[in-house]
Amino acid sequence: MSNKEEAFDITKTYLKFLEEDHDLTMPIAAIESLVTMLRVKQPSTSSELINLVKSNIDTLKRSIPNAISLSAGCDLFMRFVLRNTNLYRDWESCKTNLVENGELFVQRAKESREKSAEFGIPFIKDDDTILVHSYSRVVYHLLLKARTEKLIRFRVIVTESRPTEKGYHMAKLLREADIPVEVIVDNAVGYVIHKVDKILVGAEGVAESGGIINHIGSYQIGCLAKTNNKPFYVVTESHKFVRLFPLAPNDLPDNIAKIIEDANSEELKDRDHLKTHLIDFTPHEYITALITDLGVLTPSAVSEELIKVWYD
Amino acid sequence: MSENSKPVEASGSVESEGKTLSNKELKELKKKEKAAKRAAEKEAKGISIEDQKKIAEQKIEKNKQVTTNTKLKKQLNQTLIKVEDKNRIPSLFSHLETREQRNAQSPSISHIVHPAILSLTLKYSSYKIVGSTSRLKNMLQAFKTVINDYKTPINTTLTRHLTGHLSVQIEYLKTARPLSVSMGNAIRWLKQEISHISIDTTEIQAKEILVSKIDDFIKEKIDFSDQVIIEAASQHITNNCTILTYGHSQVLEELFKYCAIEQDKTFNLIIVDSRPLFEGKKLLINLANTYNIPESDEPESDLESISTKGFKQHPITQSNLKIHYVLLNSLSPVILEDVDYVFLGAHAMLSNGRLYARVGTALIAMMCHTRNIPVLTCCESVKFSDKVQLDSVTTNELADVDDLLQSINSKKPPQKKSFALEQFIKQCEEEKKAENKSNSKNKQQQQHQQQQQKKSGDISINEDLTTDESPIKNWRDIPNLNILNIMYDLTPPEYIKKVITELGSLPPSSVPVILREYKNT
Repeated sequence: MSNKEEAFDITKTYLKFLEEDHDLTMPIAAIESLVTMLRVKQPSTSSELINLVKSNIDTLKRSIPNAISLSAGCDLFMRFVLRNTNLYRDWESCKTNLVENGELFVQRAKESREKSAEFGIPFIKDDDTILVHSYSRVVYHLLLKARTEKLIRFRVIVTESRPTEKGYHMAKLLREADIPVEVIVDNAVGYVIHKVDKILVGAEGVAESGGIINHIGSYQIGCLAKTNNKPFYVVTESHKFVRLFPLAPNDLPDNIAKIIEDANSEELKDRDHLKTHLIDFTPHEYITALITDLGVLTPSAVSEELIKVWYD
Repeated sequence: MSENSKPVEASGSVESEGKTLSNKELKELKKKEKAAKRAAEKEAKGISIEDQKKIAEQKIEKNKQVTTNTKLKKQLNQTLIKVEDKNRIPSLFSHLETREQRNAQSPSISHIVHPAILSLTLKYSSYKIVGSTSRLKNMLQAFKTVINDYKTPINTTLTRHLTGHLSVQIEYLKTARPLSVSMGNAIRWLKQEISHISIDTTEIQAKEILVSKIDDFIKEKIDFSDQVIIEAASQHITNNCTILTYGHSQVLEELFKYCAIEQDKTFNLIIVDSRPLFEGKKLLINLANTYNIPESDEPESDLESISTKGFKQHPITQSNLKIHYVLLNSLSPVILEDVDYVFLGAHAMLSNGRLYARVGTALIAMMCHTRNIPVLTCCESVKFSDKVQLDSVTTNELADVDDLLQSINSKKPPQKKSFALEQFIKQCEEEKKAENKSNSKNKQQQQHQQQQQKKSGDISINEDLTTDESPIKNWRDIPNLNILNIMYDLTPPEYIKKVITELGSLPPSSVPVILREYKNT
């Protein structure tokens, strides 16, 4: 092995991609770093290529905590590699094609956020009150587009989203876009829900059942939405579909269920030990529809898309 | 028709003959009138009455010829058998075919049925082979022998004739029990494969192709599928968890063995069982006879290796598996208290996401759903059906009523006239007799015993009932008493969390996706 090959570190590349572009989501960064890896390493046989991709995916999954959407991207790329290596007889053309198509793949994945937003715009109407949980790039994108391009006037209620408190970030961004925003504590969702017209959330991953894995608290909002007959929409990209099938809100693999051991804020730190999980699973029965780059899907259509991707 | 309406309905000519005529007589009278009219018309056209008779006779004969030429299948369908009123079924289920009706359909074709199918039919009807998967497997194995022994008649080709030949076998097989969904799917596949064989292939080659294709089908759709399903399902079984299952399912049995032996997990298993088939006992016995030795699956081979190599071995029920065996009626919240998952077998998955399985399954699914216990079902994609059914009444299988009244183990083969079978049995008996005669005298006693056994075996079901101390042994004589024994029920999709197939795990709402993808391939 030459020095150049040894120097390549998939985790560092991945983190660098994320650092450089704040709009980049984890699966795309993963795919992009895998494509870069292929360009640098230049494997000489197809089995070497497959092993290379496999080992790199493993290192990446192991080194990054909260690897849910990351693994979605990795699995998708692995599938893509396996299918393409069988497609071409000539190894050289296969390799070049793989790299080229890999880049195309990344390009398309990047555009999917735009597409999802496009599909989501008809859902937002004048004088709507929209409840948003936590910070999601694609939800922000959709709201921004509705406000600036379609000039729709609506209000947004953002949950504080403890313990990460990403809700404040979301509120700040929306305020900059001239959208009236109100931040509420997570406990107040039930209090405001009857005034809310619809709920929009993002997703870290979409499970096979059509349920979503998202920032903690999504499940309880889903339950409240269902009992109050409010539509609960999930805005997401199709490369976040994962081959996972949790059965309960806490039924997540250990390497995915991220825990913050000491989540208490500074002034309360010495009072009690606060332990919290960061993600939960919302089963499909609480979700009205998924707004994705493939169109607006019912939860059951997710498994259809997944089966199409994996078995054709 | 009531008495009052009769004079109004009757035509003027009839009225003169008196009001004492019954409805039947009235009808006949009308018929005669019509016939006379027609004859008069024809006579007017210049055809004499004798000529007319001749023409009619010719017509009848023609019809007779046609019936002899028609396919056996058609003939079968036409033979409607009147079942004695003794076998009463609640009117809600009266559209379902009873065992007697099925049995009565077979005699005309049994002479061209292959012995392998004959024995399989017997095993089906006596529940020696039960369960969708093993029925499918055994049927395909039997088809292999049928195809191997098949000879294409002169003036036909294998592609065209074999399908019909198989249809006859299937028709006979159906007399034991209706085809399962998986069997239906497999038969459809096999017939398609037969039609794909090019006419130019020789008979031997064609047979070889078909047999190897059947082997591949068994491997791909059952064996490998089960492995994939087991791997996917085993992630739910963790150490010290409690699993509940109902009856017996081939893939679930394999799953529990896999978790206990290969993965060395320790878990509790609650087997819920019900009358009359007691399939749960089968699961219990099979698990109790499985020994914990690495790198060997079958209990028989285990026993051998122990005796030869002296391995220290215990049944998995001793080391890894704690089993509770209960009947369905004791499925109370006490038992459900700390169940983590419910695994259910399937007979079929319908395209609206409903699970068609052994009767009692829906009850368990409902109980567990209300207690928030996830209900999972393991189902190979051969069992997927594009049917839509909203209740378990429209299509179901009526089993023998007597199964409920007496032990299933004393079940006799169905009473039916099956020519080939009778001949086969006669032949066997003669052979036995010849053998016995040639043997020495002290074996005469044995022969005597055998005869006695045979005699006792010949006792019909009704007589057998009298020996059973059942309070309703004479239920057929009790007016207004109906006994119903149905085989399957339907579980609505809301109760099922997850369907594990070899194509991945899905919610029941995604069953049509599998059907679409499966049909394309």
